[in-house]
Amino acid sequence: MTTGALLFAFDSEIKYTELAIECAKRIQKHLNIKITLVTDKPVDTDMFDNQVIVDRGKDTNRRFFVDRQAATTWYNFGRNAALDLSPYDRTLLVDTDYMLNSSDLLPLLESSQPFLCHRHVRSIHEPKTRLQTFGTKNTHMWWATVVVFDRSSQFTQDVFDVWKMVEQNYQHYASLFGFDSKQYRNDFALSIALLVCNGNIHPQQCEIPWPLANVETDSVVDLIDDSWWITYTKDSRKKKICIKNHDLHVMCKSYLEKMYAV
Amino acid sequence: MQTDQLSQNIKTRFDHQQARIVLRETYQAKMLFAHSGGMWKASPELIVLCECCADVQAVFEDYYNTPVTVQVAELKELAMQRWQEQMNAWQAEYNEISRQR
Repeated sequence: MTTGALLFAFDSEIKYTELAIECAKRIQKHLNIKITLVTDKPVDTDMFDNQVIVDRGKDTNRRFFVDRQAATTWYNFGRNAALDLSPYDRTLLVDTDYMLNSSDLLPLLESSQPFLCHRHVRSIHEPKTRLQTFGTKNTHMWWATVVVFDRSSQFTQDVFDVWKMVEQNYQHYASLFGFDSKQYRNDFALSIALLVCNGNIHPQQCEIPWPLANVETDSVVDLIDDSWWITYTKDSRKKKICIKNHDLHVMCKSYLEKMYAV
Repeated sequence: MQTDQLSQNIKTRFDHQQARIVLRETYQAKMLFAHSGGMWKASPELIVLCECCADVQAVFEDYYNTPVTVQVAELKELAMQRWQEQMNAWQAEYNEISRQR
């Protein structure tokens, strides 16, 4: 059985392909698995075992990033093609801003669960984990940041099929679940897909057994000798913590760009 | 760097309480391991269950509530090893953050 990681990166104002290279280095270091990049233009690097060139499509999203102080374009459509594009039997699909600092994901790749992703989330400066909801129906949100899937399972096939269907009919699902359709969110599409494929019951068997650690866009991030120093404001006071050996979803991309001189 | 910015940086305190919470979570994640097609959490409960089971082979419920056939001694050894390793690493890092200012 082959196991590998799949990264999607389409450059905009943010050089996602450069972030993908950094992400790949970390995957290589901590997990030592093969890595495939899905992008629209070949990237001159030997970090990837394979590069799949696809059309990034015309549809874009724009979002204001607090840390960049600017509206930024990003191409997040077509992520549901991961099942077709992955050359591996068991795939780790990760966002390029997910910084691996440990081998915690290895047991997930070695397990036989057909589909895994995060449901609980922790902002790195908040004391409690939370379950994010979306829409007027308060549907539980499953995060598309880290997804582990096995291509042999029918459940996986169904989830990706429904994920694609939601993307193609996003407006319809937005009115059905009562959320804003202006920005396409893979998290929403994946959450709906999981709910539909599991008979309208949240699939507990798909949950990664620890929360996704998010570093929010209003935090200040610094990487010193494999330690992530995160500064934030809590109760009107500036505080900092140091994180080691724990994977982080760094949402303040401007700091990642600075750190890696992208 | 401006003086007020410098002064703010100096005043920034290490959030010990939050660091301990995140550290615990870090090591809870590290207690998980895959074996015999199931997912297991190295814990005193699992180790004691293995200890109490006299059979060579048994069916245990894994983390995802799936019954899995396991070689009891093998599972116990893996659980014990991981639990000890991670508890030691947790303590070392806990002591390290306690010294942060």
